[in-house]
Amino acid sequence: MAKEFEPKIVGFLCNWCTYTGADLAGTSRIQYPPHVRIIRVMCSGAVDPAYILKALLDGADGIFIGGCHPGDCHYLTGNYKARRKMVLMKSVLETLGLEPERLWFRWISASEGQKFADSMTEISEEVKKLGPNPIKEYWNV
Amino acid sequence: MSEKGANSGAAFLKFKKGGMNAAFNDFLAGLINRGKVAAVLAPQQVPSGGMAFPALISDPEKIKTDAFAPVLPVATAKMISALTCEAPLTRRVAAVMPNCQIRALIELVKLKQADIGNIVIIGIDCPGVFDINDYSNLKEDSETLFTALFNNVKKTPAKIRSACATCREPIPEYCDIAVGVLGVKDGVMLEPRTDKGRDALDGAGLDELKDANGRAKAVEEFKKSRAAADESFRKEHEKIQGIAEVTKFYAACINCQNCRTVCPICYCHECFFRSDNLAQTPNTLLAKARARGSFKMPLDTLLFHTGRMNHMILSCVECGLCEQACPANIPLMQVLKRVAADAQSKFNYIPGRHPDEEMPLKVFREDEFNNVGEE
Repeated sequence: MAKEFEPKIVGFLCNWCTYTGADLAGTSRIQYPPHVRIIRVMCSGAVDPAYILKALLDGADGIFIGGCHPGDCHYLTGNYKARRKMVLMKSVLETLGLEPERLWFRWISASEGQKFADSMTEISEEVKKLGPNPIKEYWNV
Repeated sequence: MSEKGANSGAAFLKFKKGGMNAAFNDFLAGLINRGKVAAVLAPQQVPSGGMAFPALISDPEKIKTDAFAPVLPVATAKMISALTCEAPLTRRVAAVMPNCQIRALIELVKLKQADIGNIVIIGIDCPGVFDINDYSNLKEDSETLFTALFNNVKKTPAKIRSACATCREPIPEYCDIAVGVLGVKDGVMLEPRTDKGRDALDGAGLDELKDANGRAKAVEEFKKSRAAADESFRKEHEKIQGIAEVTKFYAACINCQNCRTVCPICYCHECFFRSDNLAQTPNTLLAKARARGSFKMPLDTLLFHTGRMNHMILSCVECGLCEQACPANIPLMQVLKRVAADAQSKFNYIPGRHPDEEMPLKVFREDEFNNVGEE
């Protein structure tokens, strides 16, 4: 019997909010699908789109970027800048038809362990519906 | 910069027997002789002929420019950056360039890679330019070609580059002196747009431009036809979409990165995509092969192109130098023009309009794109 598709999701989590939120989800023993591979970054605004594209083009089925809520950035404005970069990146992928729906962005604070777990569940399900990243079929990307 | 009507204070530079270049070179030499500028940066034929490169000329006797040569081998904007990136010039330099390069220069100013405080920007109506290879094989002189491109584009001996044939901004907007060719007979219009421009024209002994009634209409029609060509060009290439089509489009890419080397916007001394960020050790390469089964070497072709777009596309002025420099002849503009239009419209941003405008990724508003992070 074919194994069910288990997506690989790469998560870029801001150190101050979403990463701490993920930590809270863990320490609170909240269950969520184990598909996300977390990379801790200092700020969502510090994530160069190139790193996100690298993950996507290397075959990640989904990408998740988590930052502080608007107005709550530890560095005051990093998440607002991240938001603009996301709009740009989605626009580029959309024009090229490279499945921008695999990109996910959420504001999750340090106290929102439950929201983190819920988001992971939702994203896992949505990415499962999308199926495996077709880029994996192309050895020449 | 004060915006003025088409004819306000515009001077008329009458062509001489020697043609447009003779009169224009006299004008440029006059700028140096009258102490208005210390040097002139303008396209000039290399001694062997066959190519016009920007030349920085401080000796007025040596001004033999070919300012109207319909060819753009390198980004003039980058040459201004080279002149001014370390410190603003202490004396003025006049620079002759087409509108795409003015716009690129404005983006470089916003990126703090150039200073135009002492650059007298002389913008020329541009009918489009030929690919460098086509141009160097043409026998006709630049003036004949330039005139033919404006008068009857169907009769020119080669096609202009696709970036030019679909250029929406062929007429200079932001400049110190606008050189008007369209709708002006037997000479060109020299219209000062700033105090710097007025100062440069001061004492040049030029007549006032009288008969330019046809100019506004000629400019409008010319821009309209280019905009229509742009529209159909985008439509025609919309099908380059999806991973299959996109990888096919970049299939011949050899990762040489010429496109970003010549790009006027790509200013980084060390490109992210050439840096250690993406360097792979032998072990990681082998591990990757084991994980994926197989992959192409060199790596990351599509990552380079899509990543570069994220870095520069909001400032892309669609000058087409990337396409011209591509040794694999990939028609890059077919994709870049679409990506640029879509991305720039998301931020209501038109690059190269004015140095005081903010670049989209340098600023933000609290109340915007509110669906991001909530959907």
